[in-house]
Amino acid sequence: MASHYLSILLFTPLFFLLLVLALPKSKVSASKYLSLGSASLQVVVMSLILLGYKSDVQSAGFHLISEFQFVERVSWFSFDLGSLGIFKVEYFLGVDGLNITMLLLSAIVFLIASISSFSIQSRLKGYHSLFLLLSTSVTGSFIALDFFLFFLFFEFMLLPMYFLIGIWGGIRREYASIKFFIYTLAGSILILIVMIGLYSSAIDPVATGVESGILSDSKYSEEHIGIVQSKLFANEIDAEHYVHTFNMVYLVDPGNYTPNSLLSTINKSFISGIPVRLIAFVILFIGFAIKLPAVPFHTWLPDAHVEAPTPISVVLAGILLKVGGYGLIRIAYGIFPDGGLHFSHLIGFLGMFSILWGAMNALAMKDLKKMIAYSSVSHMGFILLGLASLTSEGINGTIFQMFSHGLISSGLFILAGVIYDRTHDRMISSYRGLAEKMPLYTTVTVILFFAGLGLPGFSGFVGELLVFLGAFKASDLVPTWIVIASTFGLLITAAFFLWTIQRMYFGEFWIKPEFDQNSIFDLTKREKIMLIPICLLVVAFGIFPSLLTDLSYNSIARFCEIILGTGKLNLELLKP
Amino acid sequence: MDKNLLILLPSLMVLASSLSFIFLRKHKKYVIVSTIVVGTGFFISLFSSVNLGSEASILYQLDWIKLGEGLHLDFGILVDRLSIFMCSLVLFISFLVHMFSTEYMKDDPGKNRFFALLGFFTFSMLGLLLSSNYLFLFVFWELVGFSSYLLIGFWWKKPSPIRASKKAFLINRIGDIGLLIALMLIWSNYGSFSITELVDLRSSNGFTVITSIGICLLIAAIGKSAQFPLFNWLPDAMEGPTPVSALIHAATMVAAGVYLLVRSEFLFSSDALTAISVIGCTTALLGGISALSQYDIKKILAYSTISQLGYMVMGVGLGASCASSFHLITHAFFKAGLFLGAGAVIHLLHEAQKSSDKHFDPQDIRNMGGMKSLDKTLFISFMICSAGLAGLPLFSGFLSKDAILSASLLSAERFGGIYSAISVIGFLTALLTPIYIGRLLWYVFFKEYSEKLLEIKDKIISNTPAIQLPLVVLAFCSLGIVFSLNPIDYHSSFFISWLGFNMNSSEEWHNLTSVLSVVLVLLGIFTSYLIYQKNLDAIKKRLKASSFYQISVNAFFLDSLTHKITVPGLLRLSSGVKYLDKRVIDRAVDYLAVSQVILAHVIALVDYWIVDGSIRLLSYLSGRIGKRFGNMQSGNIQKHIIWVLFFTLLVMLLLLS
Repeated sequence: MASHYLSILLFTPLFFLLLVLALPKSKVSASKYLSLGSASLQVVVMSLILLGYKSDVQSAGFHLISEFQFVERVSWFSFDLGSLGIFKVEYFLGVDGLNITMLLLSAIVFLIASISSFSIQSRLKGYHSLFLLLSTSVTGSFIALDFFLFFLFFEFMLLPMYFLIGIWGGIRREYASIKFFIYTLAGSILILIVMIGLYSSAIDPVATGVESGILSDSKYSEEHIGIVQSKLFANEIDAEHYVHTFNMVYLVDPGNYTPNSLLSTINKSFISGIPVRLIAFVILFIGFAIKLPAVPFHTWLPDAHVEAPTPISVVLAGILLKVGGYGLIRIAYGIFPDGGLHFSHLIGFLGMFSILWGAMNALAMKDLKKMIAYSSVSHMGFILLGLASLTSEGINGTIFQMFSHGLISSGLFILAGVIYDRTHDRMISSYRGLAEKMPLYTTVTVILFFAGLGLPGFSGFVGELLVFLGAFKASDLVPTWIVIASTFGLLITAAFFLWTIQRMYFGEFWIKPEFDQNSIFDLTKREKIMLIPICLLVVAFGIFPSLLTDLSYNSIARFCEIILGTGKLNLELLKP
Repeated sequence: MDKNLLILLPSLMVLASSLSFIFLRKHKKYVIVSTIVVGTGFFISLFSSVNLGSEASILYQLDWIKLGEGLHLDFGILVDRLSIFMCSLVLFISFLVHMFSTEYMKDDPGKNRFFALLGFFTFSMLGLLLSSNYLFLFVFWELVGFSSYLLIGFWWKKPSPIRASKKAFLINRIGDIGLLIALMLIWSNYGSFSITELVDLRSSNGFTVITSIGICLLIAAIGKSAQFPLFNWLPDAMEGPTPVSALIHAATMVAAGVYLLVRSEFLFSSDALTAISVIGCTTALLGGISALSQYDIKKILAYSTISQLGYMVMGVGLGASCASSFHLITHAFFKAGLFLGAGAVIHLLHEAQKSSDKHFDPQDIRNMGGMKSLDKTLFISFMICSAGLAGLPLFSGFLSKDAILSASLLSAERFGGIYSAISVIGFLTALLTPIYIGRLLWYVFFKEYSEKLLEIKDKIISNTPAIQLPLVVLAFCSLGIVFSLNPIDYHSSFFISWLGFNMNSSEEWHNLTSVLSVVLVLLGIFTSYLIYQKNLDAIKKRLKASSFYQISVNAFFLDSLTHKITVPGLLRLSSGVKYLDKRVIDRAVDYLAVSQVILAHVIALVDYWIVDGSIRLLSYLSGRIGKRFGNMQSGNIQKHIIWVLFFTLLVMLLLLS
């Protein structure tokens, strides 16, 4: 069955982008409806994808192309490099349990953000064009299964973000946008380095088989690959017949690496005594950790958040950071399981450190939006902690935490935007007793703050619980003390959220005298349309987490099994 | 199926009525309806408990989260006589508190919200009691804490309730972390949270694991049940409306920690048990001492609650969790009665103040006195509940306290050492209880009218039935006869045998305990009588001047430890972290950028002066050389010939040599 849902999902925003560009000057205000239309259409397509999605063991995906769903795979371009083999890039999209939830989250977040974008007043055409471009590149980086394609989308997120912060941002927008751009570009370069290394090391076994005459046609089958791989291992294939590939599914299998290449598990290549594969993992890890962001690579985030307009903060926290987490899972861990195992202590430690460091910083913040930004850093620490454990609980928790944080942080940034829209001041100390004038706003804040501090019944709890259970269980990969130290993050998180509630929302009503006293009014209809569904979703996924985990647990179980197995084997092979 | 439904029905009804607040925020009948719902729930629960067999049974085992083959987190309902009885108890007291609140909160603009929150609390508490596994116990444990947070901070316009609610939630969170770590330990060692499965699994693991789990569960109980050293949130929680204090901070939620320990009895190693009993008896003593010198009527009762919870925890540590559960139940009745009584007193004064326009603190016992003649029903029921608390024979507290104390004597005999000290402290606390409650009674009821009260005395009108009825009912439930046909011997309690407990104390220790505690109670009452009624000023002054008084008033300075060391320390740490983040990590990034720019400038200079400079030098030099040699071709024929000859000779010389 050849369905093109993923392509439709991917190109919907681009199509609407053309419409926006074609709008005559007098109709520019319609562009916001086009953004909304694009996001709604994406939600519809996403629902169709979910309807057709199978979550059984036979469709677990991850390391077998045949088990991916909604696959679209055509050769994009390839050329012969003579004795160096053949260069090949594919247009390869697919869905499995590792990305289906992220795709769903992306659709939800962009819908919310497109509603939130209604508040943008200036240069609508430019804004919405960039917004739609961003939507395509985010969607693309979740569904691309070709590293080259992934990298293209990954890089393309930077451009619209740079302008969206730099033009529509706050007072220090230039500084923030350039910092964001350069910092994350540095991360991308690290990823690029590894990508080139991977490309030179791995081959497409099927195409190589055809090219070297081992296979007669390119019909995909398990045993055929085995034949090619064993010939490759025995060095019986000439280098000129190598069909180099960026296909991430092939990159997962160590059998597809040419025996003499840099990143092969059997060719013992070292740089100052450390296996090159481990170095490659570290480089890739840092590249994605910047995006996540993990402490100490996080300082671009608070600046970018504070300066970005509300809808862009929503996109940034809601979905952009998750690309980093997703990249860590599928690419860093998927391709270099040995690195994941080898550095699990360090990664767990970084996770704990991010949790505590982010929470401590949030406690010290006087700016509401900055506090929320640091709480994001803290919550992203759970992703590393869960990932390091490599248990079913931990990885399920990681993915759930990403999803739940996407919803909660979107809501939190909208909340910060609500108050900023009214007075253009985000300082916590400028307000007291907002509950009196803004009861609904306060209710929503209390709900989302408690969701953020991980109260059971809200989705935040499930992610954190699973991560903790997984990390504690994997005592050989994550030392117990790290997990116990992380739990104190819960206390500090509760402290800064409750303290903020106490200072801003409760007590006698008071705002800074220089504000217009009439500017304080409760949520508008548009704000309600964004916030109430978020609250409902956060509660729904908190009470029925299986709505989400059922989509992915089979893939995750497979992932853990393979990563642990291959990782241990590779580490043995890599020993000097 | 219908029977199962019957057990779950009350919690679902309460939840529904609580959630319907979203749509009925302003509805006038909401208060009445939610009270009726809770009342009906109580009767349903009572009815279903009557038909219940003695075996524990699990209803509804559902996958909550599936994580792979054989790996799943479950949701389940566990029903046995203890849990269903506790449910009835919670619903019963909740119903009385609802009824009381219809009058107490009648003028509050947010009363619908109040009743919705009470309902949500009741639901969470029922969930906690019925959970068949530790995971959902934790879930409801947190929800109970959440509703407690919202109810303590019910009057959110005043700063002190908000501060108290935050404090309560955060200190509880420390306990929650303990429970979370216990969950992680249980999951990683046994792979199941189910209480019934764990009973069979527990022996499969080492001693350290069991002890760690026990200690973590103890930490959880320390947070929720306000044990030493984390008890100081409970007195502050009295900032909430008084019915809330009665329901949550006396009868039900704070007992959840004890319930957790009772349920987990099978998981405790001997070390863990010792730790539990030490914490329990310390709390009992410290709470009792702190209650001696407070002036806020609710704070006295709060410290008394801490002390009694200490008894319960101690009982679990002594291996007498049946005695602890028994005390939990008797305490729930008389303490709820005392709190509602205190609420009734406050309400009387408050209403009188409103009609007379005089204002003073209606919770300060120094402003009371002589109230025995103002409201007879209140006086009598309060006296009965106090007798229950003090442990007078024929009242419920006597029976349950007796059970714990004889267990302590038994342990002291068996193990000696620290258990002897625990036993002594247990009895000492039994002496303190009548002293502080006697003091309270004297100040509120027996003393002559205080000056402030005298001014509004005429305006005081007796309480309405909505307030009096719960008091009378709770006072009745504080009589020993309700629990045991022989009201001085807990062994003959039909109640205990229904719950399936076996009290394993020997007859002689029990008799000794009874005698000892009667003596101590009478001694306590006598002391109280001497100090307060006889007004021995000399002793009073001596006492007030002593450091003992300071310690008691300040509850062992645990509060200042929190406010002067922990909180500022944490805040200082966080600003330190912020400084590092800004000045080190972020600065490093900035410096990296700056150094890049500097490097770029250096490269630009190199580019200009060296790379480009060498090119320019080359072109300059070639220009100069060209100019110099250009002279040779000046058009002067003689010079040409000379140069031609010179170079020809030069070439020939070179070729020949």
